[in-house]
Amino acid sequence: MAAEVEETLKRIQSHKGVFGTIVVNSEGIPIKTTMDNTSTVQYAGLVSQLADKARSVVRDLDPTNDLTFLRVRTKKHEIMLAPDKDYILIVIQNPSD
Amino acid sequence: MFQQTLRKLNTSKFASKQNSKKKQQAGDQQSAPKPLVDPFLDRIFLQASEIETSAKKSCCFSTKAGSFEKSESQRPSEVDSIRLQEILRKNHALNGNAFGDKGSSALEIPAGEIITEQKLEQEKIGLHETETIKLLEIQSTATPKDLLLPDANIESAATAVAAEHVVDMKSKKMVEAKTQTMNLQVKQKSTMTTPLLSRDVECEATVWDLFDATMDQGETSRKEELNPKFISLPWCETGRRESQGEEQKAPQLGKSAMVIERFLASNLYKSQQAMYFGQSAKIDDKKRTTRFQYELCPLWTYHSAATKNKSVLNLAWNTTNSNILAVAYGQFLLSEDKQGGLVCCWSTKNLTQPERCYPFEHSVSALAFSLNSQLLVVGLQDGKIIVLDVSHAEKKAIVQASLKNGGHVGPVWVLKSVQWTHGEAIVSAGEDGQLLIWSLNLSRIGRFFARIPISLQKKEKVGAADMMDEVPIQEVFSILDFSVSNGADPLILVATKEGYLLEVEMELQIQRVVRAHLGPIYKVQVSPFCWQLALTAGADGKVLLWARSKKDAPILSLAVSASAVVCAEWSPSFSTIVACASGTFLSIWDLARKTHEPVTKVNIGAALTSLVFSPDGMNVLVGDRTGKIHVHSLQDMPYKPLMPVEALLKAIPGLVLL
Repeated sequence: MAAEVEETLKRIQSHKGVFGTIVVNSEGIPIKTTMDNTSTVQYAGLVSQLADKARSVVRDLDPTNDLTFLRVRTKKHEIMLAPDKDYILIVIQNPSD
Repeated sequence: MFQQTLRKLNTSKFASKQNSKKKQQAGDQQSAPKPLVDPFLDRIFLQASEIETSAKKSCCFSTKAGSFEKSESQRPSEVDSIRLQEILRKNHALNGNAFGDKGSSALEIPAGEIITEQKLEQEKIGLHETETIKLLEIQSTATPKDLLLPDANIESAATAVAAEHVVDMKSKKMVEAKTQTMNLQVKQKSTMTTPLLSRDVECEATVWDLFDATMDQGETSRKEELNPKFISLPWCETGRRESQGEEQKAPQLGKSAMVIERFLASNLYKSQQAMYFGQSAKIDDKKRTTRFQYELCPLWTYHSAATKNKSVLNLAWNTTNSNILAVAYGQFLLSEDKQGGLVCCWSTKNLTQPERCYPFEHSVSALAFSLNSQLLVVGLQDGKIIVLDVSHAEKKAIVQASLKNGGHVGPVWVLKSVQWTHGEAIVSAGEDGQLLIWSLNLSRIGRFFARIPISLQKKEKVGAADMMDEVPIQEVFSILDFSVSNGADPLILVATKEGYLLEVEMELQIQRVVRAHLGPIYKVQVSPFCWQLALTAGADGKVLLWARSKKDAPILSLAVSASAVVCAEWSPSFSTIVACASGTFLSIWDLARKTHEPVTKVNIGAALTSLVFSPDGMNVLVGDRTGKIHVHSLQDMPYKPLMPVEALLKAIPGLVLL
């Protein structure tokens, strides 16, 4: 990956409140992660499904449209994902930290 | 029915004893002297009934019983006839006329009747031979020697063969041997192959898959549509202007990462951003008075590791996207050690990290976005002017102008993008007193010298204390700022380092010279609401307002502070509000309220260098000498005047519009 992208990811990881960054490739296999293995695998699997479902919703409503970002706000933290056809970038942040 | 049969069979045990005599007489060679109750046999019978046996009468037995049936067919039936009858009956009941129509055996015993010995002796039991059932026949293809066949050929052949070999029977050299030819025996051979791997693959084609397939040709155009959110941002057109030589994946990932960083930052600064964008109005219902406090609420600070120890020299908003701010960093004092300059592009959405960072070897003293929002024009301290493309993260200088192309000799203090006669022009002004007009590709189209003849200088002493012992030495003065007044009578107001304010016509001829301030004039700006009104901020700590109607003197003077006013600006939305930065204080003046003191004042804490309003006029950004940019929001403001020019007229006595 380009150095600039690496740097941005590093900055994201060291951002206040972030406790995990995962990059998942198109097959659902995590290629970059800062969390422990079990959590990573869990997140990768579940989040990929969610991203697919969300994308299908968006595109079924209007085929010219496409999903760009998905933010899931929960009681404890916020999951942000940027899905693409080659990868999915997942960041988990605790904003009230 | 099965039970019935069993019962019958049981009762006929006696009968069997009778028959067994017969059996023994006949030399029963049954391989399996089965007991009477033989469910197996019955079952066989049942199974046999399914087999097509149309030609056979009582062939009750299928091939399963093996040799048993064969012998059965060849010899007269020695089987227990009673049993046979029962079986027949059963079968008859089962499938109708499968057996019945061929004439079953003569003995017909009605069902349910008990058979006694007497009855048996009365009746004649006849046993018949069934037809021969050929189960397997393999024709022999050999001819036995001693067989007389009608076929003459074979005979002759055989005899010929025999004759041949009957040479000497007595000779022991001859060995008789027989062969069987043409034994076409087929042998079945099978091998096990490795199992064929098969995998189930499913594919689902949704409506949008079909859409994608049809749109594959115009893919690039589709990508543009798919990112409507980013169209206004200059750097989100991913590398379409130039091929980058890196794979497509990384820029996409980088873009997503950048946006995610914005989300992260905005999560932390949500309330501040809301206040910045005016989404959270602090309306205190209880305290509804007509007093407006003009509060300056500090929101956040733009700073990063790269900007430490550098002073903020200039701030410029993007012309189309009001969320992007370009900041020039460098050395404030020319006597400071040269550390190099920096241009950072900050976004209001990402408060922790600049989205673009371009280093320069010299301090950057001026910058401006062109009307085309992707180009940023940068002026350096060594006189160079560089046009950058902000859509790339790396510094890509599109075009550059230096002394060789007719650029500046000293630092470039001011850069502005103006509408010139034929299109857009970039106007630069610098230490050498030149005001240069460039086209976008940095070819010079005009030049102006801030040359003031000495004769003029002596005369103009208005607006400042009489400095009799000041002997003018130079003729050309450095230009620190200029402002274009577009109206019926367009003029360029030029602020010089010596405190002279020049009025220059569009043909670049000096119309008038006014001695405005005692020291350098750091800022001159025409009011965005009234082209006849301009403010100047000078090193003597005053902000003066000038009107076209009054030629030689300012119409209003604001005593801002004792130290120099480094920057002052009209609010772009409120016609009577002026923001001033001097020393470490940021002050807001409302001319409609009072002119002897600011309506609000805030101590930033560091020496301020530059100031700018946000495009909507509700926020103020100040840069200081430590490299930080403080963002303050204006709260509790009065309503905007409905008629701005009238408000100005009311506020400033002595302002007369031409």
